[in-house]
Amino acid sequence: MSQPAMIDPVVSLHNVTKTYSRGGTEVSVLKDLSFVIPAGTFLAIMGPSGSGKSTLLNVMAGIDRPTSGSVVVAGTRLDGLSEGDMARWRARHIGYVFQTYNLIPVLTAAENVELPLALTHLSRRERADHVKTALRLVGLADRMDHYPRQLSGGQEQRVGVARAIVSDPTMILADEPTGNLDRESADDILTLLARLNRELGKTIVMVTHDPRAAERAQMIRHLEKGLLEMPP
Amino acid sequence: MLWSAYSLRNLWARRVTTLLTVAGLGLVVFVFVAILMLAHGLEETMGRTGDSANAVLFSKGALSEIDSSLSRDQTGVLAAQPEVLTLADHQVAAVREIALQLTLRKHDRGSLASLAVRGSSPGVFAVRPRLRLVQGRLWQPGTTEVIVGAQVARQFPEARVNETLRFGRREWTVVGVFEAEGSGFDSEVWGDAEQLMATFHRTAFSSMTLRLAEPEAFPAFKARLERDPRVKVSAKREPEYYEAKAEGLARLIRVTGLFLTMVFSVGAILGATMTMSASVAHRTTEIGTLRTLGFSRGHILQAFLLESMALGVAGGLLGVSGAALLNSMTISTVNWDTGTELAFAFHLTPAMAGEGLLFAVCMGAVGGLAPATRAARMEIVRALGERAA
Repeated sequence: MSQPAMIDPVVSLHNVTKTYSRGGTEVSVLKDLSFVIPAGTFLAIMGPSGSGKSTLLNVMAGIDRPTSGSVVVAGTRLDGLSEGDMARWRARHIGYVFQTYNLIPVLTAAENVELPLALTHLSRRERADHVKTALRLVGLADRMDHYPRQLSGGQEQRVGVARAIVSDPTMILADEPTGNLDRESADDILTLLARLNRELGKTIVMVTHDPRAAERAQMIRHLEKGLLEMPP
Repeated sequence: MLWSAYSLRNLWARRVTTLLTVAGLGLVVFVFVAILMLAHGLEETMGRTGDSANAVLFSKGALSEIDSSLSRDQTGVLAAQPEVLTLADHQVAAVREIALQLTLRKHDRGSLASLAVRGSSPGVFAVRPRLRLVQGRLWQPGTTEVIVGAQVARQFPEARVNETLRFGRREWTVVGVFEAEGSGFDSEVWGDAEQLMATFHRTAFSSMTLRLAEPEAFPAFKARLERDPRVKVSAKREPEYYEAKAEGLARLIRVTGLFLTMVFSVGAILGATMTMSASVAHRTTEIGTLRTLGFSRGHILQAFLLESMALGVAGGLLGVSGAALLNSMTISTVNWDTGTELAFAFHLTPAMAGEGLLFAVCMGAVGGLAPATRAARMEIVRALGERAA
């Protein structure tokens, strides 16, 4: 960001705008954003509610499309992809951590983590190995057979992180990952994300409105009224 | 595997609505299969009536025994046909019969029922060797003794051995009970043809049944007889003749029953649609999550269709199991083709069970299609409830 010309940008946005129509009125959420995120970055995007930070994350995740502009993530230009290609692309490149964990209640922790692997050609044994590794990494190897309702909020979010990393995606996107957690659990999750960035070199983009959470990232950028505050 | 577990566990997670929907689907399948069983049981009973080695002959133009008339001369010529089996005692395996009806009061409900009465000769057991006398004895020629089919003995209190039936202003003593392998003969009363003809002032027989020495000779036999100007008869194989006598009732059961099933199925399909719509509404975030993880619209459609079809399978199994309880249960009703009482059993075949299951799965799929399509078409951001944050 401070050095946009550096090699291997994972994310490259060019003149991205996003407008919604609400009650016949056009609301501009993202206004002509252009920036790059280099590989291996742990970036925190801060901003007040309604500033467009989640929309920005969704555009980078390929679950929302910009009204105009180009989005290139992990070497793929997203604005031209069909729905099916976009789904396949997400499965391959994006690990997503939700604020409300979004675990599937009828599946165990291990099965929740295994879900993204159902879209791969891995064998049953390979999938089981990946799931064990991911859950061990987040410190929940002993909770594999627990259902989400049997886990605490912090543990659920750790399962959410394990699900995000199990398929070894290019980038992890986290939308207010500590928003529903107590201080201690939030610290655990932030430590975990920082470790994934530091030790495994994962590119992480985290949206948050909590300054203490943002401090754990390598860089912080502010989004205000659809405009990204650029570094001085 | 994981994907199937996901769908099936979601059904279990909402087990009350799932069970209610399954019960609705099951009820329709039960009715559907029961109707098939009923129509099949009727056809089977009538199809089992008679022996394929036997030929039934009646006057040309007659549709059944009731409106057929064969003179003594005609029957004499017919019995002398070379294709007719000759028995050990040098008698030909041929019986001249008269078909009548009698009204009796039923044992269980006290209602009146019309019964088929067959005037025959003692040689009838040689012509129809699969029939067995299970109680008492055969009637004596020239007497007013009768024997009754097993179903008649079961349903009518005055049709038991040593009891007396009153019809044609005469009293007829029941001297025996015969079993006819669950065929239509089980619902008949048999007596001496000459006595019955005298009682009812008949001069002609209704039909003649011949046992052929070589059953495969029937087509040639039929063709030759029907061309013979002396006898003026039509010939049919015995089972085909009796099966045709139940065609109308079987068709009525099928058409009415299947129409009712179709009407009920609309309700069951709507039930499945409501269940699946509620499921989709409760799981929008889940749908958004799965799509975010990389599952396609097709995967979502597949998951919800799998769920609704699983509802169908469960409903199908329930309905078929319920219908299986009816298997071999005997009911008695009036055969509209003959106007006489006929007892027959529900009969479940593997094909019917398969058709019931397939019908249930189709109901589930049709019911689930609209909600599954709606789930698949959901916008991810909208499903996640994160629009324009």
